[in-house]
Amino acid sequence: MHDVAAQALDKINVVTQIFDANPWTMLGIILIGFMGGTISGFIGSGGAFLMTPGMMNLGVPGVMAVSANITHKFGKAMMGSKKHGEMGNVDRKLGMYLLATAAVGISGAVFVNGYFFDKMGKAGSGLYVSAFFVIVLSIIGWSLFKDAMRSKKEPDTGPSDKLLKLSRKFQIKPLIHFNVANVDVSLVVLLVVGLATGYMAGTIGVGGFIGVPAMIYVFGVPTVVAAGTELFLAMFMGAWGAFNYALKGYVDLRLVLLLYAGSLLGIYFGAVGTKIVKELYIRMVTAILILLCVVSRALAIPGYCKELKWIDLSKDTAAILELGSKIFLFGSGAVATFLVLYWTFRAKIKEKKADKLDFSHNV
Amino acid sequence: MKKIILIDDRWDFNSPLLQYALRASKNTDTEIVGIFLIDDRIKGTIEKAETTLRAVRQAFTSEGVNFSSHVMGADADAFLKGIDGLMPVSLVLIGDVKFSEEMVKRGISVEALKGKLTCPVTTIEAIAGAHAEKKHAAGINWGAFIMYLIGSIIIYGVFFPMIKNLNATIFMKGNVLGAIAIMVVSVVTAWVWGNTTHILPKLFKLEK
Repeated sequence: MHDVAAQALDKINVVTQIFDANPWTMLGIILIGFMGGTISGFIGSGGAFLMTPGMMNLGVPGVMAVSANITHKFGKAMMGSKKHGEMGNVDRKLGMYLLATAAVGISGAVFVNGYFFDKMGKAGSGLYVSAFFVIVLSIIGWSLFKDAMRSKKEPDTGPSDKLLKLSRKFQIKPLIHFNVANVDVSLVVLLVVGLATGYMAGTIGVGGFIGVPAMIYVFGVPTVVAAGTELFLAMFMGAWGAFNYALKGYVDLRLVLLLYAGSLLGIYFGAVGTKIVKELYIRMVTAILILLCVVSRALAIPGYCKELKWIDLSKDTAAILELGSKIFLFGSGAVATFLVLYWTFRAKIKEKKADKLDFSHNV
Repeated sequence: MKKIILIDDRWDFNSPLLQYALRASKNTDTEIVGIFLIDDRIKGTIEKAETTLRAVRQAFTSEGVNFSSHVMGADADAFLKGIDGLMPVSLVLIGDVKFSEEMVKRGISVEALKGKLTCPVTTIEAIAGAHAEKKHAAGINWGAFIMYLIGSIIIYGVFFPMIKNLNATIFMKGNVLGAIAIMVVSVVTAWVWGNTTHILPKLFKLEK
């Protein structure tokens, strides 16, 4: 118990110890940032589902991986939401309503995450974040995969309206009208969704994966407005989350800066890819990558349980599980990044073929 | 000889689509093959379409461009067979087209054609968008780039090694001052390094 308490108190030095033990870890974090950045530029959302577990696989405690990721996300979203705002894709009123409850959700998440770290140390924090990650993202990943497969069969179908119809049946007054999105939403539904989004963002740093689908499928907001509003929301949620974690002393700026080093390199390549690669590919990559990250985190759980002395695990089994977790995470991240870059360059070559026909005239 | 397929519902010679095709084909030994999609269940539409296409052919011929055309109905199989019969082509250019319900049900769309055909398939909107982007792109601002690069070198070369000590004195103290300092460093790094890396797609010629 004494070891656990010492580990919890040593949050200022934990990253230094990791870097001193293996300086290559720094390169690993840059690489994780690059993969996360490329993927987030490509699919338009976070990349946190790769970056948070990636840092944990390199030995960073769960709470510090989440706080580094959310702080890095705040700066990134700040730059991104400016562009969406200029394009008129942001429903600020909707954003502010969601933000009010999301802030409560984030504070709750910071408290719970910090509680696990303080009481159970690095292993407890890792176990809590991993279990939450596996439960929530397996549901989201599977839903996205099913939706992508449906689009493959019926290319011109829009998003499923089953949830929208269901939520319309149970609309509890008062209803609030949002002009930009042009929808009426029950205040109660708004509060529940905001709280869940905030809690998810604060726990694993991927609030967008519940916020955007909820706006589209439950509120009936157009996809482009949902994406713009989410980015606006992410900026404030990121700021609030970063501030809360920083107030508890969990944010190590070295992790944040290393993530930026990689992610802001990758993000532009991913963003170029969205202009020239088919949307179905984008959705398929997102779904498969999330599910592989879930497998990776699930394989890490027995290791945390062993550290907490909850289960007995042979050294060999623990090593195999740890290796499997790393292979799934870095393998899937590397393959997804390679595919994004490959499709982007391939599509560009195809475009150049059209240019060779001397189609350089103004329309 | 190169061949371009144009698919359109309007066939207005002054439309951006036809004007673009004209400019692209003139003096380049390129033949244009037009496909007029109509609802052939409505009486008289075939005759109307043929009359329109005759006028378009005349206009292209007077500009010295070879033009041939086909009128196609709502039948998805006939449409795909017709396109296949025209291969190989250099480009399929799609203008103001509304695919019939039957075609949509059979999975015909601009996206689907991009996947099915081996040649480039694009829309007039995409070309217009690309040209607008080209006009907006001011190229690489080397002066700004060098400034941001110097800023990045300072952040990562000078400031980064200092964080280990600053964590104990400011950043990870767990107080308001530390939290504000973290937020400021995060935003400044995102801005400076983000503007440095922004140039990369242009260097790799992925963006113009």
